Amino acid sequence: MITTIQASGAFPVSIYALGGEFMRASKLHECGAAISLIEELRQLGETCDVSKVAKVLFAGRLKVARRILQPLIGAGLVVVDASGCLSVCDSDEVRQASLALSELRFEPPERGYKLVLMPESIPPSAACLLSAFRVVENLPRGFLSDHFNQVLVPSPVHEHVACVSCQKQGPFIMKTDTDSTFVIYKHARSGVLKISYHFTQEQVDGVFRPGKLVIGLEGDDIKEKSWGWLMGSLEKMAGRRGKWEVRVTTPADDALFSSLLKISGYALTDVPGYMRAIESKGPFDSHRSIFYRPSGLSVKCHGLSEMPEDPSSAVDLALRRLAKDAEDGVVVICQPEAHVAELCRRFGFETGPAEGEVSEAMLAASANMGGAARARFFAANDWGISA
Amino acid sequence: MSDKTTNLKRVADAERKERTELIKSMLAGAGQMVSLGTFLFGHPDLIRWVPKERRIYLTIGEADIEFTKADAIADPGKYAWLRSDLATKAAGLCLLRAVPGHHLKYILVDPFSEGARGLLLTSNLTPSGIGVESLSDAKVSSHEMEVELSAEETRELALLARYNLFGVKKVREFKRGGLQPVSPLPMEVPESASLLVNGYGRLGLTDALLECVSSAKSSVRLCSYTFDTDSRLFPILKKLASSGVDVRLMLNVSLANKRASDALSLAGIKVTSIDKMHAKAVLVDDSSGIVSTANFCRTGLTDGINIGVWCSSAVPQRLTRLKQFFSDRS
Repeated sequence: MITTIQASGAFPVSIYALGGEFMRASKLHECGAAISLIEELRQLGETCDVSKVAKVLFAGRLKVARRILQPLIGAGLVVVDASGCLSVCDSDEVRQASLALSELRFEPPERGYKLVLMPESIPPSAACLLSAFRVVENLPRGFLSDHFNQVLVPSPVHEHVACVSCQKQGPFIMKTDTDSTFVIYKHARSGVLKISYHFTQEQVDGVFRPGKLVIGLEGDDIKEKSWGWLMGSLEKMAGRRGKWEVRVTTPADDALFSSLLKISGYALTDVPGYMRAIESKGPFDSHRSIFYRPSGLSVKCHGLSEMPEDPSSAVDLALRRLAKDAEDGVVVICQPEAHVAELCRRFGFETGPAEGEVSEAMLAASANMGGAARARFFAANDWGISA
Repeated sequence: MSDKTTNLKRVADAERKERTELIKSMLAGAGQMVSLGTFLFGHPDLIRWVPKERRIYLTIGEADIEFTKADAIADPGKYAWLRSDLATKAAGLCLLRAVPGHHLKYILVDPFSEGARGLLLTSNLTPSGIGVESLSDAKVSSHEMEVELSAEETRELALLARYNLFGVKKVREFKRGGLQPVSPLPMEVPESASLLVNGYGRLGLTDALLECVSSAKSSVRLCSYTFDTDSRLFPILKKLASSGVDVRLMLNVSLANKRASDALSLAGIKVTSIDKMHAKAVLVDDSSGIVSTANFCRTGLTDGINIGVWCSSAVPQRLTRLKQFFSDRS
């Protein structure tokens, strides 16, 4: 199953969530579970206290329950009444952020927890989710309810980040504009920088695949010091299996382009101000995309590492990709014949592979696979399914 | 151990041996793929019986079994693998997915080809219902039934299996990193004309069972792993007994069944408690019946995904086998 996730919310949060980071996920998980339990019991008309949270979530360990609940209570996310009953805060904004936290899904891998944000659980308000993250991230260091209330004001959201111009920590204002296509960072001394972004990411059988990202920068100052801090987040997002496809929509200066090229997990496509050409350097070299400045200066080779020479090598290339997916735990849900035909068409081979060639090639490609990978590889054929 | 108990154990052992040989021969004949369905999985040899390089798809209902060591010692035949066993032993050999509420038990061999074969089981894919090569794992046989499916039934079950594997929500797959959620593919719930199906908002199996039992004129024979007084069959059986129909039940030995047995006995119904009775079948007037994967207790008839097949004079071998099952234990 392929699910396309599109996000145009708060940029760093979206990367953080969709990338499936392990950072503090166990803490988030426990906080989210506690809030979820309290709210669920309220909806059932039942009361919830610390001992109940301990019993249900922490195998009766009261100390652990208190350690999780205390900062939530301190931050105002959870309220305790005179009889010790717990409830999620009544304030709409606080409540929204609390419940956004409880909507997150976590899958336990071998160690710790992996945060997986499913499409249906992306909360409507990215700003609220951001607040929830910020709160939990800060909990161990002590987070006062006043501080929380100040941070939680939904829009604009105050953040402490380093000023892109003066490099000092300061109270920035971050908010999404009306159509949510820009995240605006404003600083009293640095003016306004607009970063537009839009990214889509496919999820195939629970596994996030490399996505597509469109970046645009506008503002008073778009030099490296204005956007350099973004590269950390972008690098974090890249570096997994496969490459993200990145398109830069605004005229980029050399420094931005070079920085993007340095990130190995991205396959740049269109870059304003640059021309793209595919060139073969020699019989044994791979085909590459090369970006040229109008002046003719080659910037850097980038792009495809190999191209099929004929329909047979297209079959080989296509099946190797599918086989790798299967080995990586992805069930192949596209008909291999159709996949091969598409690749042939894309590379300009009018006649596709001969009849039966794909089936034979599949058997050959799966010869050394384990049983699970083989079943994933043949799933579309065996069950007659297609995405 | 009484003579009758010893005899019943001998019958179950012999049937398991026969069933095992049938399954072995089916799996050995697989040309392309095998699809296995069960509630619990814990069979150490089953996957090895499939020829190498065939694809195996295993659908299970329960991935989080917790049982004590004492349980395993007391009932080694019903030994089912823990999640960690499933992940380490089975998940590397086949595509293994856990489907919520999956209570089907079946074996399908090349289900979409001309030589398709299908077997409906009342047994889980565990040593109590299917023999194993190491005798230490096979001490206890449960009383089970199996039905060879027609080509049409096999195809319908294959479509159901496909839907369970790829179309149902909240399915999880065993992968290297553990049990992972998978996204369902958009597909319609398949229609079934031959199979009786419970699940996906349908109660075709339950309706057919109730109708079949209600139509009894002279006798009803019924066996089940679980039965309770909340079952929709309970008032029907009482009514039949009071109107002179000869109603006899064979239930597994358990505390929960004991309560139902007492209530049924009060209504004049003869109930026999048989250790390790796990089959779920009904025979009406010695002329028609149903073998199902669903137990006949309240939850068995209302919850989960289950299937059943008709036994009638239209499929004489199947009807004879059903009659034999009850007569061997009477």
